[in-house]
Amino acid sequence: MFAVGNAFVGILRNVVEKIVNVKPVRYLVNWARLYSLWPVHLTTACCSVEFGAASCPRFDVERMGMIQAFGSLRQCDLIIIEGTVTKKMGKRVKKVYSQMASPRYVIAMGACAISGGIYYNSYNIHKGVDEILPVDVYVPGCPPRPEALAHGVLMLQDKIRKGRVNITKGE
Amino acid sequence: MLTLQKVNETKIIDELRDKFGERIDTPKLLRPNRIVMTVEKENVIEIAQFLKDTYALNYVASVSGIDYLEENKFVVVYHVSSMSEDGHLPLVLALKVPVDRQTPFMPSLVSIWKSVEWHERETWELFGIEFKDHPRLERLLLPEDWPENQFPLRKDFLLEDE
Repeated sequence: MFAVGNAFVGILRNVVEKIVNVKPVRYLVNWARLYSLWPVHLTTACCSVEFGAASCPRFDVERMGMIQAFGSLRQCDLIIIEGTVTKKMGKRVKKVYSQMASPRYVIAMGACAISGGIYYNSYNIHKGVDEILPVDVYVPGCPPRPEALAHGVLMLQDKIRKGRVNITKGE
Repeated sequence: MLTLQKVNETKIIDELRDKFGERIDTPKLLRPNRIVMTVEKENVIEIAQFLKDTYALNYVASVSGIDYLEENKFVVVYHVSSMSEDGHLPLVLALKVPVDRQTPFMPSLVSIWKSVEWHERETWELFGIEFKDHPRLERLLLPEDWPENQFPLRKDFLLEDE
């Protein structure tokens, strides 16, 4: 019974994937995705202050389609790495990332998340979050201004619209 | 019990000299409201208990380690101040405990000041100084799979680029 069910789901998935890969449909799907980015609020370091300011009325990234950070990880599809990732935190970041729903996007925010920043030769940090996660957009700065983060979000939306994001399948 | 106005550092130093004599090494006034003294690890529990009971020094602000590589010793420094009911006293007392570098250990002060619990864990994992009778000596800041016998804040620990 289950075997038949699984086979049916498999066929259905193949059909859906074929339909989604037709160009106009693909465009529509991407268009729907790019204006509903739900970020995870995972504070690893001080860049989170600028991230918080970015969602507040003065800068208001919500008007560009990035919703304020709230809700469950299962609803989220964007993780913004806000600063230094220590080796201990790296394991937790990976865990959070693997709980998010696919498709999921990663923005590395700030010098520490890009290359380690001033802690580049520390004993306890990852030299850039791209050691552990596939990063889509890098936002430089120490810390980046909220406008810079908004620009990063716009760049990510551009990537999604053009279908240039590597969509990782859920684990 | 002391109040904010009545901190008399020289009186405290004299009392400590009278009470413990040779067992406290040169208690001295570094600057107003800042007393520094060195204590052997055999006497540290008794003296810490005395400080807490007598002067209401009930709050440990920090526990840090210092690595004297040339003199072949560590020094553990407890910065003790007060959060008593009379208000936050401006007095800060630095309690220094020298520890041997080859077999570094000293008694834990968790039984006297509960707030040193995670401070001592941190000192243990970064310097390798063992605190005897500590209730929970586990890693705090370093990742769980950090190799044994590597202590990053020791002077002879080399970083990758060095």
